[in-house]
Amino acid sequence: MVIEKQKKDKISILLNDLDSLQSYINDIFTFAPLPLCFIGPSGVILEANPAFIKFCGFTFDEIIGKAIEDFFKKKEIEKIIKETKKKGSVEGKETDFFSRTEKEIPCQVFARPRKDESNNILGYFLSIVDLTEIKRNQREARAALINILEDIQEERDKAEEEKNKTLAIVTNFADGILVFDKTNSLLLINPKAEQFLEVKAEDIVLKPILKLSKISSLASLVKILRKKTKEVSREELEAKENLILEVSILPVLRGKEKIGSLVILHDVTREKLIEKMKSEFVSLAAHQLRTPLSTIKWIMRMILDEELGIINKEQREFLEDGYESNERMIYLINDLLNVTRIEEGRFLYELTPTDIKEIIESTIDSFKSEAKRRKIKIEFRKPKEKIVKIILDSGKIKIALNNLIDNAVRYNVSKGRVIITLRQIGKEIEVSIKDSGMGIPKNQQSRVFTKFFRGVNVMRTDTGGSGLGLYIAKNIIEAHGGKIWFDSELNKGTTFYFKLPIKNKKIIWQKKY
Amino acid sequence: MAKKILVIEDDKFLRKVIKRKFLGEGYDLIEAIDGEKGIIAARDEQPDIILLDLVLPEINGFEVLTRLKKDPQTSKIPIIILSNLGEEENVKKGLELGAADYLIKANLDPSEIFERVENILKK
Repeated sequence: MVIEKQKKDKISILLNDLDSLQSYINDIFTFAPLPLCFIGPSGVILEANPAFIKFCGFTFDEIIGKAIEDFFKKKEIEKIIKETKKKGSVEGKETDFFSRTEKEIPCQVFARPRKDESNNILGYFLSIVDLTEIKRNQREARAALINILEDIQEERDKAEEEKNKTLAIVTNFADGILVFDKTNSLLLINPKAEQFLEVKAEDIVLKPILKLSKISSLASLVKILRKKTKEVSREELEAKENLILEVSILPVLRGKEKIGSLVILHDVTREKLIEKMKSEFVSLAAHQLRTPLSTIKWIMRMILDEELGIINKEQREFLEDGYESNERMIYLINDLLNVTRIEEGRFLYELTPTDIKEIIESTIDSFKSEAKRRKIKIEFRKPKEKIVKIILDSGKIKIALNNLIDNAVRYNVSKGRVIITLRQIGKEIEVSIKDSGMGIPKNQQSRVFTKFFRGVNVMRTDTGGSGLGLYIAKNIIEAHGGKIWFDSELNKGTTFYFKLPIKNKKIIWQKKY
Repeated sequence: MAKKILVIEDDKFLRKVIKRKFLGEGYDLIEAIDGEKGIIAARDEQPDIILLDLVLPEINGFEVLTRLKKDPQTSKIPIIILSNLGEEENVKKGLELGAADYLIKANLDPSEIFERVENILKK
């Protein structure tokens, strides 16, 4: 009896447990966020949880009794059921779900059979995982990845194209190009540079500059390169016979750091030849013009000096006018020659330490007779102490002084004054030439140092000047690293000043070729 | 005894003026119209001084100067270049080749040329 009771109690407990389990499963079934359903062996839906109902878009009543194949492609769901039967389960088979409103919702299907005690299949549990979100994320991620890859490819293509373009430009450039790295190893040489220097790229690329200097055609270029590599510079190089190159060296900078240098070789042979021909032409033309002028000068001077007989006052007057006109012509030719040489950049010649006081004195001396004739007093105010010698081209400084004093005398009033002052101010020598002449009109002052400038007031009274004197003077002073300027008041006079540095670092030497 | 001057100059007018000037000053004067004739005259006549033009037909003045300075028979004769080539390169070259002075025709009067000749002869 007792045993019977014990058995009964146990069964009752077990039944109780079974009830709890049943309701627990029911709860899971009901509240699980995953769409779940139970279908009979023939594929008819017998049970569905709220998540499934929501997912397929029908009501509970509509669903119960509906064939599961209405929600899938027939073949696919048949395959899933068959596989479940055979293998005991299907885990996450990917397929498409057809809801009431949407077709082909991507999903994963999990399936398990439900069996009775004798292993007969009572039906199947199906759970469905909506893959829409995941698929979309995957799609987006893939699209993003593809975009990134495409962008990278595009950038790479662009870079490649740019590189090819740059290379094509460098290769076909009419000038020679060489690129050196920071350590002065040659990185690149284009065909034109190879041709100019008679070298082959493969023999010299990646070689340090020192090794390059051993190649004879490169030696003189290397010399230029080693001299200055810090800033942009330009130099002429006679690479071989009949080939003059202008070598430009430019630093290649990244930010402020120098990462290499770029060398450009430009063929200036033709320009140089033309320049030389022009210079020879001017020099020859000047010679040819001077010869007859010399004859006229000499003959008139001998007549004026009465070496060929006595002349009367009127004859002398006319001859003197003729002599003076001839002299102007000679000066004009000298001026034109000087201007040509200034423009060729080979003007300064011999630079020697010179006492500028002596140059001023001798220049003043050469104006003695002219000043006397025009009744002009020239005064030289020089410092008592000795002035240091400065390095200059004395011939050229004399030309500059001559032009300035000539203007002061020529464009002065009768009985006027010219005061020349020499001073040392700090590290500079200053010379001023002050006249009591007609002055330069205000509206013309900015053009005073330009070529062929002549003041309008001057042209009325004197037709002799070439308009080149001040242009030449300015070029001479500036070539010595000096400065020239003036102040002027109409009908009161003009003062020209120039300054020359005592220690002259900025001298522009004549170009040699 | 009168001093003897050789003038190597191709321009007949210039030659004429120089001749008149130096004859007037009591010099003996020999003329040569080109370089080759000038070199022969220098050798044969042994002048006290030579006035030499630079732009000459056939051989130019620099070559004449070089040859006269090389030849022991004429190397001692002072030579003054009298030319209208005024570039400093020419002046320098002339003096380096042994010219005693370099005069630019258009910048000087006959009497100044005469003075420069006298100066050289006094040395």
